Amino acid sequence: MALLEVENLSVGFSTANGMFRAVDSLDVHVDAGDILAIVGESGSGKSVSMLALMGLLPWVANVTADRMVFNGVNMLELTAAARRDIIGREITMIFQEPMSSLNPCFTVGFQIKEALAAHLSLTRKQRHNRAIELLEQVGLPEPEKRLRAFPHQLSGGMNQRVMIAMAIACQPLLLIADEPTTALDVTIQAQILELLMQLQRDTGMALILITHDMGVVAETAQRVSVQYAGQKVEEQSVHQLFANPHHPYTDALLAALPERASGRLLPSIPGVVPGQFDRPRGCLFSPRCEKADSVCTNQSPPVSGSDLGLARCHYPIRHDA
Amino acid sequence: MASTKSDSPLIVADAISRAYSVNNGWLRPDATVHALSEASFELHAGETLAVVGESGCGKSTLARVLSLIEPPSSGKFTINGTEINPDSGLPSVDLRASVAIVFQDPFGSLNPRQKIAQILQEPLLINRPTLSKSAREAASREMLSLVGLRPEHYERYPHMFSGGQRQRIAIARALMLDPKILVLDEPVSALDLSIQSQILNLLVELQDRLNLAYLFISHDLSVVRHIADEVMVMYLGRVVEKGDCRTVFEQPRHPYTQALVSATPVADPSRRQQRIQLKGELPSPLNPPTGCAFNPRCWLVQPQCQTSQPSLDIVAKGHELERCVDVKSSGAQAVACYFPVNSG
Amino acid sequence: MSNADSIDAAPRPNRFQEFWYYFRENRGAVVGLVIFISFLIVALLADIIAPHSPTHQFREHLLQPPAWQDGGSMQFLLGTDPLGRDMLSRLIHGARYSFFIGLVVVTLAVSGGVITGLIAGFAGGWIDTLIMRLMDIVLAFPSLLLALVMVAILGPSLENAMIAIAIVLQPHYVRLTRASVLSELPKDYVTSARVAGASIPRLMFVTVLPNCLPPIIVQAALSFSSAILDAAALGFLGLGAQPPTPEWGTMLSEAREFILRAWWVVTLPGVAILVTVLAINLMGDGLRDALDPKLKRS
Repeated sequence: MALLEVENLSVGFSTANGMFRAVDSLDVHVDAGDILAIVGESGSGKSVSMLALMGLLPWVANVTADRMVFNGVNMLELTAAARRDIIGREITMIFQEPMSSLNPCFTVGFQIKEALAAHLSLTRKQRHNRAIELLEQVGLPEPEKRLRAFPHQLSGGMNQRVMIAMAIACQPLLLIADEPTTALDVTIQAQILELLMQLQRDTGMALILITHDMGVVAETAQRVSVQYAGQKVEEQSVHQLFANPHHPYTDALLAALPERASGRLLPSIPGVVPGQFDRPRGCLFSPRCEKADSVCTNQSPPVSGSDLGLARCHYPIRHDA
Repeated sequence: MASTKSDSPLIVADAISRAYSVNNGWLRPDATVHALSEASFELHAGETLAVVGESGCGKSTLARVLSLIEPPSSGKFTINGTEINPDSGLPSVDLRASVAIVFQDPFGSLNPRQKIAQILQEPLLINRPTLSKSAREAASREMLSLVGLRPEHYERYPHMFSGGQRQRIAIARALMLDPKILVLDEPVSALDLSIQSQILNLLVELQDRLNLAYLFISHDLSVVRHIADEVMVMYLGRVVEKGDCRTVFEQPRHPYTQALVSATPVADPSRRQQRIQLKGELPSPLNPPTGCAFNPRCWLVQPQCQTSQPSLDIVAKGHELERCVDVKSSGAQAVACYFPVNSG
Repeated sequence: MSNADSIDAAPRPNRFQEFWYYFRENRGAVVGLVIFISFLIVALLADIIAPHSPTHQFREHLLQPPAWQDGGSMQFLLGTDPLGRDMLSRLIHGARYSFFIGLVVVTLAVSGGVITGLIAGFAGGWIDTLIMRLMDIVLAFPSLLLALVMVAILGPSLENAMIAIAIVLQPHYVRLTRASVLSELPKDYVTSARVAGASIPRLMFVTVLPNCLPPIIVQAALSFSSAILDAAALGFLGLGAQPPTPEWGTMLSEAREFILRAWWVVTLPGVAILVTVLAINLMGDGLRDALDPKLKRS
């Protein structure tokens, strides 16, 4: 049963220099219990699209979509109050910088209980116990003591665990993790990823993991959606993506990984991600694609079928036999 | 990864340490943070020595000491024969010119109010006052094209460039005084993957062309594996393992190195395997554990580890380890552990 | 050699165009700017625009009301003051004085304050502490009172009033500059310049200072209006510009007794001060919004 269905999501920002399209005709589909990784570099619109879904973008953003349905509820037509009911309870999000995601003026316990108070009707004692239970669930030692700590007294890894505790407090159906481990050290990253996977297995919630790290994707995801310059360019199961990428960007990205290097020089992708001022006509990747021809530079590419990974390309890579 | 190794090393470091005193409140005496303790190594021309480790391991402090931003608190090192120790004063112009540093953040390392022309010319303006204006300009323009930027970029401001381009400018600026040694403090960590490969290629090309020595600091093991000749693993200010890059990664001897390699995600879903899960947090430099700094998190810990600090010793042919049971492995590897793994 | 980009970015709007876009969104700021510029033009062209000399006394036309009232005439559009001097001409020349005062005071305060702030930020330690405590002492006094005391010591004149006001405005710049310096110093580009061997003066003025300018510019705009107000206050108390100088505050002090009899002698200089100060404050607000990078949207 589809938990989240988003069709043709577009987000534009009005700036000093005109309208900037951060997300362009994006489709997202998540079933209950899925683990979807959204991969992209800066400028791919991966964070913006999820923030748009949650209604967390500033007023200058212009969000349009054909369809945005979560758990049967049409998100496009929600009142602010109805939205507040769902966000934080059924859909929750954790962010990249654990040190700045928590309010430095309040204790960790206060913030967890605040999340509980906003969505569940529990007594004070019940909230306290649930907070301790949550901190144990995320693997924080000495939970009672930690409840009274302030964020700056805890390390980055511990703060991220607190964030996760707040996010799972109301047993959400979907957890969106926006680069949750990018700011953490490698050994702590391994701990946090393991925790997220464990929680996903225990609660059966769906997980959308936004990242730019292909290693993290390979370790955790079931399905992968690749974004470039605001558009989705490919989506496949994780094994298929790494073995047989269909879009030239995905192919080039995987080839550029240092661990796949076969010589001193890495196969690199020339050029930069198009920004506001140099958006190409036709395929957005065409200026950097070595196989681009006049069709690519002049016409927007169609989305291929699911056998070709939904690749947005005129000439998707085929891996026959 | 073979490179022309000259016989005399450009840098010889001998137990350099750097400590800071930190305000510990009104009534208590200042606490001492040992950010770097007794690091010893050599660096040759045309070679890349990588330094890996996590927060608090001292790699940034090492970068600052080696690029002469801060003096060592104890120990000494030589650059091109000139010795630098705690009593050395300000570095001479020649010494300053032999080492340059490239920082991690491409958005903070260039002065937002200066044009690229000014940014590139400044080192020459300060250190080579006899150069004429046109000579300075010619040198800057040449350097700009050497790092792959175009002539029209010369008159622009930094905010008009992307992260990768700014990092190229930072590298160009670092090379203006013809240094022999480049200290690179996480130069590609803040860049996207596709740009990262461009910059790494540029660094490799420059190293070949100019026979530069690199001290490459990074937390990203896949990048290090690709570019480094030798690697030094640091934990809480100490070097715990050192040796040839391939050997250290394929046969890590120190438990921490093993955990680090194991924790790094591999971009291959068919190789999902059981990772070594380190318990606990990174220790605070203000409150280091007694004995071996890694002992609270080490799964092979013995009482000896908690009481005394193992020193870096040769395991075999440059692989250093003290009190190691089996001294058999090949390759140049040094480990600071009483009970190294993969022995025998 | 691996190339940086095969497609070049299209020419982006330069910094001034971007600044103007954000500035003009604030309607009040634009109105303020227009008024400010008109006053500036008036001040510069005072000799040409003013119908009469500001100090010439027309004995036959003492306390004549403005042109639209009974007894007024087109010769003296805004009436005359008790000594028969044309109000309009005096107001126009007064604009010149006000701008002169604003400019000189702000220049003195900014140059002194910025240099002191730079020294405090770079030196740190006891020098920093000493400077900041001195500034705290200056700030603890009501600014007008302090200016009064200084002028009383130095003697009443416009020049002394300007010096006193500049001294009193300095601590704001010292604080602003020091705060900016402290936040810029740890940044990598400063370390880069240091490693390249830049001397301290070079670091101060060439590397760091250009990056500290936005809050200083905003504060300078607001100080302009403060300076005009303070000079007017001192003039009103008889300690600033001395009669017959047509400075707006001095004009007010001469006109106190005529509030009920001849409203135009009192009200018009007051309105002039009000409009100018308001315009500058609106402009300053717009400047701050446009220059503050955190408020930028893109």
